[in-house]
Amino acid sequence: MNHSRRLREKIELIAPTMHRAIDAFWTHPRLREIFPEFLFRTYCVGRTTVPLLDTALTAARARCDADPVAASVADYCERHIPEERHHDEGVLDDLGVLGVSRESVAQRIPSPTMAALIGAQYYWILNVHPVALLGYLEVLEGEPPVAEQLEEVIQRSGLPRKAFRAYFQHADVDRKHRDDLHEALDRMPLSREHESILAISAFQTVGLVHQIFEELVAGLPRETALKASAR
Amino acid sequence: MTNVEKLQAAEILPTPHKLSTQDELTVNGLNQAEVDALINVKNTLGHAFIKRNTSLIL
Repeated sequence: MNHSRRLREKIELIAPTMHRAIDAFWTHPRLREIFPEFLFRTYCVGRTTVPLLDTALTAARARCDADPVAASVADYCERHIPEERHHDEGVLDDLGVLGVSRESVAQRIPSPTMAALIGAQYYWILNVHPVALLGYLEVLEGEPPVAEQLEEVIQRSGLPRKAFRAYFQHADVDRKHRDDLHEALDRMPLSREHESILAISAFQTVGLVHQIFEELVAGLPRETALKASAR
Repeated sequence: MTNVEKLQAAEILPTPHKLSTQDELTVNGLNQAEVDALINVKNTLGHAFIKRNTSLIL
């Protein structure tokens, strides 16, 4: 079995719990109300992707003379960074469609859960091995959005289609990103220890993404949630 | 002690469990650090994690 398949099988042990929380969000009767908050959190993740890849690239280059896996990680990051640039800008545009200004986004302090999700990757990259970032990316990019499902959400929620431009773009490009990631993983001379770092980073990412989606739904005022459930 | 037994002892997997053959192979193929991470993530996932695994025995 190849490395990417083995990693995916480990993620699938706990991914169904995360999927349930994600489904609960997308099918929530008050999705219209929580969607701007979701886009804010998407922006918080998106704006850190290039800096994370840059950090992994630097850490990998520092090791690559004596570490062929680090050399492969550096190659992957170098190729992937241009593809991720300015994706966060698209989310800001989508927030603008919903009346959320760039200024208000810039002024907001993200939640500790967001900081834990991103901050953990800095820890793994700088203190353990930069290959850890690929476990995180496998969770975030391993299951791209499906355009048909986005259309269905737009129909059901009444949210403007223009607020989904970044997500439609992801539906388009994340398939290639996922395939590139799998190809990169499968070419790497990973040891059992590298595989373990990838899995642990991925497990933590699943746990925190799950928590972020639960917090999104829990963030609705109780009264509103009760009204919604009564419909 | 197998990984399945370790996860049962940590109350992540119910006893008795009924994992699919593939899930059981994957779980028993994890090393100690990965099992520890699953137990740690369970603290974040709480009951939902157990529910997922419980759902396998329904």
